[in-house]
Amino acid sequence: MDHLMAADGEKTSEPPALVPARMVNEFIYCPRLFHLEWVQSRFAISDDVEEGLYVHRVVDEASSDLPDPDEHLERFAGRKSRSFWLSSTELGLTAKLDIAEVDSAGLVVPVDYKKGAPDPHGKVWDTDRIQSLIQALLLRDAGYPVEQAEVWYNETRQRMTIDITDQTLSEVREVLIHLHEVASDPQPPRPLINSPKCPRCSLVGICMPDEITTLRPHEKPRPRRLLAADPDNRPVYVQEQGTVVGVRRGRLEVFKEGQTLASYRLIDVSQLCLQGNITVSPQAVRELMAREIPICWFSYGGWFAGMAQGLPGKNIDLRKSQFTITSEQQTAIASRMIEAKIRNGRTLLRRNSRNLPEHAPGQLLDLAKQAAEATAAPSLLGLEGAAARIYFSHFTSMFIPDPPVQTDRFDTNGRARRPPPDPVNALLSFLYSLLVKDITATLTMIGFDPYYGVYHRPRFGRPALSLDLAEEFRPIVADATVIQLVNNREIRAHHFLQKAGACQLTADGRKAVIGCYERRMAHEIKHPTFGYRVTYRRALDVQARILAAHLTGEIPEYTPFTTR
Amino acid sequence: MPRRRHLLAYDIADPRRLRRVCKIMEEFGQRIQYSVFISDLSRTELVHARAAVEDAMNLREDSVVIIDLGDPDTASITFVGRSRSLPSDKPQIV
Ligand code: SF4
Repeated sequence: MDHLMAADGEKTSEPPALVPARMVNEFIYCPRLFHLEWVQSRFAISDDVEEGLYVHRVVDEASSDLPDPDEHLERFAGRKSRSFWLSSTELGLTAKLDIAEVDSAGLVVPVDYKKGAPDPHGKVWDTDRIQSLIQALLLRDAGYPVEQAEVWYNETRQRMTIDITDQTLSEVREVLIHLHEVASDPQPPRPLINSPKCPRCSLVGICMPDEITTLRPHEKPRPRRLLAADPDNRPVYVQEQGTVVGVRRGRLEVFKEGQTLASYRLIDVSQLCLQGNITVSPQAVRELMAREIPICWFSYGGWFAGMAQGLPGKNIDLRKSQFTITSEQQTAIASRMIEAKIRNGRTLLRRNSRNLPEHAPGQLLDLAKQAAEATAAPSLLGLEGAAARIYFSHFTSMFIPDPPVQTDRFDTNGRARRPPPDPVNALLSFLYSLLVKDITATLTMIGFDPYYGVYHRPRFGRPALSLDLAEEFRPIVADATVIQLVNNREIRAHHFLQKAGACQLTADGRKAVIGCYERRMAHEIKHPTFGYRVTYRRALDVQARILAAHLTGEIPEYTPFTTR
Repeated sequence: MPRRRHLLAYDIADPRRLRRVCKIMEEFGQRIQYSVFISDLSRTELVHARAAVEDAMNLREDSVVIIDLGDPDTASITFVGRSRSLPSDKPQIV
């Protein structure tokens, strides 16, 4: 192991890796897109790209080598080479050629396969032209004479020719110089402003061009609605005790005593959440990791105990900035998060309470304003505690007059955890676990270290950063779910077990809570800062990305999520 | 990326290939009849499914049909007699 690490450590002096030719198109489209994909390895699947790959399967098969450039190439006229790689360290590039043919004059002609049709003017698309020029450049670099390239359009079944001249090649060389400059900079270029390219960009949900520009001082874009679609997949929760989760025929299957209890397509699964005594087969673990689907474990009592996922995110610069920001910066972020938590709690009370004393909203607003100004963690803790006491003392006033579960014990107990003594506390604890689980999964996917927070202190087994980001969402996601469960009578007295001073949800109770929580996460709201409609699930993701953009210096401050 | 509902049906001449095609169908869809599947797929997922199936088929002897039924919420499917469950996007809780 030691010498392996040493060998890795030496890598820093190696020349940077070769850039694949298709990245040049990304670069020409948008340098930031190139940076996100190549430098930060952030990919999003795009339907167009996948369909393109499918057409390529046709040429991706057999391959025979091109003759050596020193041979008399005329003798090889008609020879075709399929699907081979060409690289040049000097150009810092590598490309896969679909086909290269030797013509009767002994010249080599690269042929590129495209799934679509020529551009509306019946010409070769600019991006396709660039690819052909790069292939010609690489072939010439390898010593082959190239004067023409061809592009084949599958849809119209047309073969089009591109002339290769010294002038066009030098244009490409210039682009490459600029590209390598951007590649060696850890900071991504700024997002494009109001560009028509963004709505069509596959990384728009990760790049967040309008959001970042909006949060930057002195830049005022037109607000638009550029939002990546919500993912189609959802968490799978398994809480039936003694079951085994396996993978068979591309499906996640849940068994108990030889019976299949459920079977889901793996493409529908975003997380696997396990409660209590559930076994996961090693094959399932491997398959889930390969698909970057996290596995989250909860204790039987609902405590979020841990998470496993494949290799950690590649966004090293983000993790670095997470650990190197100053404690003033940390407090500045934390104070906005706590401010938002207090404000969101106040909004929830104002909307739902049946008998809120007049002074309460004002007190909470005062505390929120003070929290926003707080410059030290201890005073922030004090303000948070004061606000929580006011908030929770009115919490049960948000329930219907004859609630289906006992809520008055919460008035005497107040908020109490580990173990929760009454039904309302039990619901809150379980919902906070679910929320922290989702935030941990989101943070990890983006590349954060969820254990190093800005407000909560790192302690063994506590994802401190997740707890930080959870603050602003607690009232509007978790607490609001409790109110809905009770007021819609989705939760009942028989969903709880009272054992030695602890109140626990039964299996059916947990099912009801998970169902209601998932509906809340899928609920659409108008985003307070950006004005578009989002689900809470996506809003969570947006907040995590805003935090990332702030930590890496793209925007000057963290703006929390506050509902009005 | 919105998904569309598809009906997939197959006719495979050789038992070995049949097993392979069947396996791929199960991965992507929900069986509603012996060789008929319903499957909600995005464009990307459809490409993946199609490529996998083509690999398993003999294109001269076997046949697979893919019928686009449109938006999963509005696609209308009627069962007469014994029915099977259709894909759903409800919370997945066991
Ligand atoms: S969303 Fe716009 S700015 Fe961001 S990478 Fe894509 S094209 Fe560039």
